[in-house]
Amino acid sequence: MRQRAAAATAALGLALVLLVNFRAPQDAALVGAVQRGGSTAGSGSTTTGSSTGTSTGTAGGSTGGSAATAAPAGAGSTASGTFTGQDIQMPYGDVQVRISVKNGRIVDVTALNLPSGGHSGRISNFVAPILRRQALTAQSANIDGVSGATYTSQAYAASLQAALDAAGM
Amino acid sequence: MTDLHRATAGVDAATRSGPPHRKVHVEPVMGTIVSFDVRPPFVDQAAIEAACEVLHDIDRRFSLYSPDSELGRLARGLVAESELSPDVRWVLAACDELARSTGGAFDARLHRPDGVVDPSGFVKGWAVEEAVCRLDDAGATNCLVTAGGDIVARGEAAPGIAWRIGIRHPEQADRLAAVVAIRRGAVATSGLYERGDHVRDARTDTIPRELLSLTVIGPDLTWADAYATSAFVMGREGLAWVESHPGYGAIGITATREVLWTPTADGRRADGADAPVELSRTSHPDALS
Repeated sequence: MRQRAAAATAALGLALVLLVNFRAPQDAALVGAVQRGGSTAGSGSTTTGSSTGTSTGTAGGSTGGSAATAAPAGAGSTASGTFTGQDIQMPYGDVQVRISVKNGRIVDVTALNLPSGGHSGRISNFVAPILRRQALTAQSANIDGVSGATYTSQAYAASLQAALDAAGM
Repeated sequence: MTDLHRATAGVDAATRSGPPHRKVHVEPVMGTIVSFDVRPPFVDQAAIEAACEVLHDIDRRFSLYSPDSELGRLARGLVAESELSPDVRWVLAACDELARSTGGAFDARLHRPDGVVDPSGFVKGWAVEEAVCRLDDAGATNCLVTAGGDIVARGEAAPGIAWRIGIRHPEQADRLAAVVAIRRGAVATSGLYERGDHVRDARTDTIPRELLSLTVIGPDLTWADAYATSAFVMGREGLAWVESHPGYGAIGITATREVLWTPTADGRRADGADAPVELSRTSHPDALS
């Protein structure tokens, strides 16, 4: 009996963890380029596709793979195009970021994937812009890591960094 | 490091110096993700995979979500504590010692209502520290490893430049309440903002309210993480308690939005944090991630 009760409690605990960790996607404030990328909204299913970073653009040596090794931007780097960061697979969904670059300047950051789920829609309206501002704050303060950040924001930052590396920036 | 704000403000990439070389790996494990940021000298991918295997191995043995892990079997009454592997027994003994030294603020045996022995608040920090040791042995003298907001640093971000670690403001995810600079050491933060009210004071069965978050800086993430959890439960007095451990310091953010530094933490203080006036602005309660 005790075992069964323990198992039931563990299952309930897992369910609660799943509930509180779900962050719905969509961000009205972000440009209309948010894609679902295979995550099924509402069902909580996670995307399990292979982790690939892709990039299109004119920067030399673009690599956005899972083990991106950044090369220093050469003088006169004028990368242009879109650069997609690594698809970070998290326990409750994927996180993937794409940046648009024009002449070595970032003109946009888009979340291609964020964990989706059935959690309250009012949270979904806040998460993506917060993640973006959070990543921008860390970038502007030359921060290598953020303590106290959720793993969603950690994944967002990692994907963004891979996109920046892909752009040679 | 790319400076996105400056970039968007119109400074051409060509006028900035390039980012330092780095090798990044992200590993989903232990119900979270662990990111490795290795700066030169690089190690081969096999060394990073070996460090990840340390994490997976610990996860397999300690996960309470897996009924056949050692702790899963202990929870189901299939095995006695004396029959567990030395690592597991060491972790439980360390937790018992913490329960004693914190007066029960940290208690792996009592904090779950169902009575299941749950040292997960201790295991993550210890596991990451073990993984970094493996990386260290392989020659990765400059690396930063992050596990869901807890951080271990070795060496430097670039020659002569320490790692810069931001401390997230508990109420405003996009603001940094503090910035510290570390070379070798760990940073762990405990608070209520991340996953709802998941920290409970086992002594009183209440949710701690005095602090919004508490960050510990110290030599080893095993203890930094456990001290952060304990001291957060203790409230303001937890800061002095952390400081009483040689090498460890704390940063507390109070319910009144004060940022409190102990002397050891203050010694690591760096510029770049948002101004207090910015931090006192109340943000939307759902601004969690």
